Amino acid sequence: MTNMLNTTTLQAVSFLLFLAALPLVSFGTMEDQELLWYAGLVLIVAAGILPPLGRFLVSDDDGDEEADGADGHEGDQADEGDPANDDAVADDAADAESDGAGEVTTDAPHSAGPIGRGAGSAGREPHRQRVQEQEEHSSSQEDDR
Amino acid sequence: MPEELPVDILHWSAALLPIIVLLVLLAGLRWKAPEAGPVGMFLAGIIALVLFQAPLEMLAVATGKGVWDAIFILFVIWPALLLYKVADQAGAFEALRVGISRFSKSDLFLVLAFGWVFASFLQGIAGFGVPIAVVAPLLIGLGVKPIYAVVIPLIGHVWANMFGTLAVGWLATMQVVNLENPTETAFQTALMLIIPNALSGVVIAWLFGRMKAVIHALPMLVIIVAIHGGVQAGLVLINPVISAFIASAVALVALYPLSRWSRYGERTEHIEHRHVMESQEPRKDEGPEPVMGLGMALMPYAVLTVLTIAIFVPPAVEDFLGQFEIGPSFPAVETGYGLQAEAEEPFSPFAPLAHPGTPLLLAAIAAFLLYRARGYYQAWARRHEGTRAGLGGILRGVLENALPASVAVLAFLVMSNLMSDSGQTDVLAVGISEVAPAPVYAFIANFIGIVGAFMTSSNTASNILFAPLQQEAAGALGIQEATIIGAQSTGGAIGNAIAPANVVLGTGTAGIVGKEGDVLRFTLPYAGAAAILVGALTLLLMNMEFGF
Repeated sequence: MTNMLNTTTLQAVSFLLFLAALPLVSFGTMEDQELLWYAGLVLIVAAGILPPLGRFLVSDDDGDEEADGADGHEGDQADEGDPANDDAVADDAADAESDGAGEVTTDAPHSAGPIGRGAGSAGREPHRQRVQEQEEHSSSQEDDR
Repeated sequence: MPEELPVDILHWSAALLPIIVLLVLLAGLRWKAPEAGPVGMFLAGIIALVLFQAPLEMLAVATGKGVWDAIFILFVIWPALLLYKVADQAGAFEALRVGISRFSKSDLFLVLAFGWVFASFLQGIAGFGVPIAVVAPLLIGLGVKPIYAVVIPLIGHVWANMFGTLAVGWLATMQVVNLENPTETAFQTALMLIIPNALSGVVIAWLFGRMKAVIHALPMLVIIVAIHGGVQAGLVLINPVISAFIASAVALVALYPLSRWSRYGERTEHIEHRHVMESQEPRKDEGPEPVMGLGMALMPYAVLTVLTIAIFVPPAVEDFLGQFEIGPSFPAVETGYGLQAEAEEPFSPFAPLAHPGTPLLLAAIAAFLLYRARGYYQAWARRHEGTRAGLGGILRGVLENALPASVAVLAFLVMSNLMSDSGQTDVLAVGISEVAPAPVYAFIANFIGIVGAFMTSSNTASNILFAPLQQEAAGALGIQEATIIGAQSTGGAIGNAIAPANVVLGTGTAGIVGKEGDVLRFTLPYAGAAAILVGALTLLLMNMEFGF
């Protein structure tokens, strides 16, 4: 798989296909132009297929996230949803910090989220960017193979 | 609803399947919303085609309507993300955190103030997801973990859904049902809404630091619930349109005297474990010095509030700006069972200038121009390594977060329209009303409202879908109409806490798209508990009249 096929690209294509379908369906059904609204329906189907398909085909940083889940975090996450077991969340944070992972966004360890989370956030983004770049690099190498 | 529509166990179960599959994929298997949404969409389409005799043209029309409904929501998501990125890239959130820490050192107070009181205020005036999209990043700026930053406003704003946004939900309900006693109905609805409101405050405090936090927050919880609930219940008797707005505004004002009370002005040392916060330690100002003051950091939100009030409160302004409307047209379509969706020319038009996204967009543009003129982007980029100064960095950030959220919202709304136009939604609701005896129906009436809001992410849409059915069922079962419509409306409000499109709105603006299942694992139990309590109150009120 080429590096072009990543989650963002698939979602962008899916988004555009959804939007492109609207005028075709509206005009096609209003003017009784079967070909047009059939085309709109096909676009919707294509738009809907791409994101779930990406789950199985694309191996970018999202895939790494799931790999993390497989090596133990997933179990912790399952507990974290239960407020009664919420201490697991904090424990995750403590573990991650003691592992030297730096500043951790506990609930979203690989989130590319909006940061600026106070004093602790300094230097977080460059670290994350480097990790992502490495992940993408290795991912694309694997894909190329 | 046509009599031919098959209300049997096969069709009822099939109609429920897309919702169940969506919940399992999101909350059970932790699929990301943009991946799970299309699966629900396809399932709803296949069931419509195979079991509900929906022709392909009907599917095309329903999908087109779904895309258009989604565009309405996307016009909130994209400007909200833009506003967030404009402020974040200028270092406004660091300034906000430092500035507010000086104002009150109690994280518990700040979380309740922003996640519950301010979110409710935003729902009172703007609605349509604005409270979630605006408050989630603000909470992250205060040091709240991203998932909690989404969960808290999701449950914090629900009570204001019915009479919020200047009572659009109430007005829509009045359009679709001819109420015997609107004042009685509005009052009973306002009474029921006190339950999700009080529960929100308690749950947010509990999430923060369990029982110690609840006990510490108790005076604040009582005061705010009394203001929210009391003012709203009193005002619906006079003018429901402004009831939630005034109630939430009074509560916002009450925050100032509360913050002067040492109980809420000082750090809560005795709450050892602050579960929702990133750090358990008091924040030390060891990070980069903010480039702006608190007033400047809050400027975009002040502009947003002023613009929203200016646009939506004076009827003349909204009427003027609402003149220019756009919307696609769709023809009438009919299923094999005779269920007809009427022709709509145009379908669900909206006025871009009087849309809740417009003040968000204007606030973002104003903030960007001011921050750039004052050099904050360059200054913050120098102090905060990794920040990419300028418009390019902002737009890239918006795109990365908005795309997955947008795909998910599109799929959810298409699924909702497919279910609605093919009759699946009707079969679900009628199936319940046909088999349940009066007390059981009274208890579960609000669950129907929740299902409607879950599917459409809208209290208003839930009431448009189900209020006529609820009224009919109340009449047939001999239950007081005001109580059942109140339960429907309250369920519609509660359902907003678990509606996938709302959840995605939060995860999108908090930058944690893909974590929707984690969010639902908190909001689902909240919605379940609120629904049970509202069900119990409905049983209590079903034969009680207040005599308005």
